Amino acid sequence: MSRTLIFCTSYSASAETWTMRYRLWLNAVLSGDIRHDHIVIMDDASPVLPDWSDTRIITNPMDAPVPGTVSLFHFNKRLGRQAGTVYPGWSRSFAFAARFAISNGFEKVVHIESDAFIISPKMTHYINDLDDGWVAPSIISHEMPESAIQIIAGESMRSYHEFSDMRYSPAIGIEAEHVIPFTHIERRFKGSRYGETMTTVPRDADFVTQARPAQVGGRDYYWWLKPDIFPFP
Amino acid sequence: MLLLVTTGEPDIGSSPADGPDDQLRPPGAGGMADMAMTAPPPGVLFDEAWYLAEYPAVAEVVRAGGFASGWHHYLLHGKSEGRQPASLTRIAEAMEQAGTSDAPASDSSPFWKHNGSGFLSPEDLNVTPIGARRIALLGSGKPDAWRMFDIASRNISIDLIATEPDHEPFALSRDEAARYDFVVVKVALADVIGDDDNQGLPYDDLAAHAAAFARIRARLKSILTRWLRWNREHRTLTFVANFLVPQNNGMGRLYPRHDLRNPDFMIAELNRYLEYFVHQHQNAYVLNIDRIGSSAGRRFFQSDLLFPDNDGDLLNPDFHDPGWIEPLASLAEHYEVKGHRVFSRMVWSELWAMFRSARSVDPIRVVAIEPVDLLWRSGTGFKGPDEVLRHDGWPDGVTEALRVLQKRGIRVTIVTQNDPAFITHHLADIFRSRSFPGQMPEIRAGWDSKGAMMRDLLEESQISSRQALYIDPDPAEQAAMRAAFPDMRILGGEPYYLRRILLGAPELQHAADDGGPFQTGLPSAENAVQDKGGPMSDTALERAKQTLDGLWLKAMKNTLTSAEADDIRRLSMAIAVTLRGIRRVRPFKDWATK
Repeated sequence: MSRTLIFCTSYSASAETWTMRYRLWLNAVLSGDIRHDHIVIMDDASPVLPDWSDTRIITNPMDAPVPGTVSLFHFNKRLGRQAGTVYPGWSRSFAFAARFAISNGFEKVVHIESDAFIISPKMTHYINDLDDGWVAPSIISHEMPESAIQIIAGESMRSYHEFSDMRYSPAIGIEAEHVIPFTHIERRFKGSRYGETMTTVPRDADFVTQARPAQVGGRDYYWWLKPDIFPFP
Repeated sequence: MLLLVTTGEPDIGSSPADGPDDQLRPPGAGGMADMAMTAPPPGVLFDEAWYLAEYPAVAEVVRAGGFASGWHHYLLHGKSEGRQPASLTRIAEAMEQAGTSDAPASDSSPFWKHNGSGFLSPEDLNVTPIGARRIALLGSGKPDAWRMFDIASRNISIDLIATEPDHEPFALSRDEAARYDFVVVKVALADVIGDDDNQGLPYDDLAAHAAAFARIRARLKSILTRWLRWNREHRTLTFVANFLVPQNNGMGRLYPRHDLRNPDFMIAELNRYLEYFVHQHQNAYVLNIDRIGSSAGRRFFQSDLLFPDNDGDLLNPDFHDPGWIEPLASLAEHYEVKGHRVFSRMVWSELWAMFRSARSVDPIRVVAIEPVDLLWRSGTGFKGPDEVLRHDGWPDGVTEALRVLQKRGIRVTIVTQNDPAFITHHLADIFRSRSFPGQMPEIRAGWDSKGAMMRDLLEESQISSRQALYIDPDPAEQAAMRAAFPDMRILGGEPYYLRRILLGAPELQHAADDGGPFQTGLPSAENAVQDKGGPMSDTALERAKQTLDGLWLKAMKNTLTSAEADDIRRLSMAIAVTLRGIRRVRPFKDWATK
């Protein structure tokens, strides 16, 4: 069984957003069935940080994860995103996650953005069973791989490591989907950036990205989550 | 033959007879009796020393006794020859002192702010001073007819590039092109429509008129193809002026308007083609001087009062024909020729506005508005005696403007201290009425302070307060919001200005071929880091990449300083602009409507 790291990227200017968005995501992952050994949140220098008992904030790249906790790696200066295809903040977090994974002996990385959720058992099993490749699901609406959900395992961990060592400048101005060396785009799952255009998530979706509950209401939006995991009323 | 000169050089430039301001006009213009004066009367701008130094040949003739003074020469010949009465700096200073706008110089009231040159391009939301340092004005005929003086005082260098219709402008290296913040292309209508193109055609020969228009259009295409060279080669930001459409239906008011046999329609159609052509180019846009002319009042300046339709230029208020046996009085004694000054300033205001929008200077991504009084009347009772909410008339104009902002991708939010159910009900009534079908903007109504609601909105949008606009007619609420967010832009003091500002302010606009600064996705506070520069030179690009990649190593070690993080953001954007052209981002979809 591959030693697996799950990570997302983060930035929040308020405690409330930490709760409404990131804690919810964390609870969903912790209570879900995607096998993992550790979770790390790569934080792009948020001005406030959460005070969660199970989460350990680290700033030193050499710090090792402590079993039984969630790591929140806090960058000291924000890089953010300046335009649709200019996103140094995300690029740094994504690359740093590779170094974090390699240096701490992880053999598989599952990247699920904080506004993305794996809904169906079918997709969960797929993620758990995947042991080689750099895979993303396709989203029909955009006819492209969804970089908000990625699974990297086996030989592709080497590619991920190499990717993290690349210079940043060649990637500027290019969509992440065209920079990342996916080995396979998985088209068997139904999912999309539903939050862009819809106020609900279809009942038969396997995954959702860009979930935007703040625009449409609270718990009802997340019909697939267990009621007891919500960090808000 | 191409001629490159700058505003600092005298031989090309606006004709002094085309003088920018009444202050520059000699007394008794048009009369002959006072031409022997040796010095200008008080209050008239003429710099004798500068004039003689600038025009040595004139100085020599004056020394030889041919003229009593430089002023004497200027009156008799210099003015009609296109010589300047003083340095541009001096002229600019004089105009500043005299008040260059159509407003009284001493009057800085909001009335003039909104009725002057900024009428179409309101500056109410400007924060950052204009960043343009060097521009080029490329054209044939009189490329400087819009007057340089107005902007000369802003320390902007302007290159006037006179070229011919069948010539390309000279090649620029990438470094040279990068020095221009933008280029204005002004094609003379006379270079496109010849006198014989359509004037001699019989009216009933529609096919001949259509063929003439095809030739004219091909001529325009040929010129623009050549003159947009810098845009094609370097993607230089370029504004192409269209043409002033004549004021009259040339055939007569009882003839069809939309018919190619009508010269005024033919020019309107030419404008349509010009826009089509320009929009085939990245980073090139139409400078709609025809629309500006309509707003400024074309009867006050448009040359078709005297000259053929294909002159397409501005009237000179000092125009007189010296060839008559009996001297003619100046044109200004027969017509109210005053609008040229307003028009020129409006053209420049529009250019600055276009530049600001194209470069995303001070963009606003979120507009929050208090609906009471602004979207319906009567702040206390909410309803009229017939229990109907009053929202006809100008509040409908504001509502419509908000819908336009939503279409542009700006997040529009109602922020009000009120019962959410009440607000939702009535806004639904407004936004789903016959006039404004569709969805409502999002609503933040409740009993929290508006400041708290605004803070939530900003956090959720993940933008800084300086990218937001708050609109509230209540001065106390404005003050409270200003105290909470000192750098937020706030409007509402005078609702009559509101619709115009929302529709015209460059900070609320973006280029049509750019997803705009209003992208969704993973937004960040660093959206405040804006692209204010054009493409870099090859050398600068390589240096930027090296610097960035060096900083990237530090970023991965988590040891960046604030300045270094700023550099990464700035360099990233600059490289993106250079390598990928203007920002192309995913169109905004989800915030436009709830």
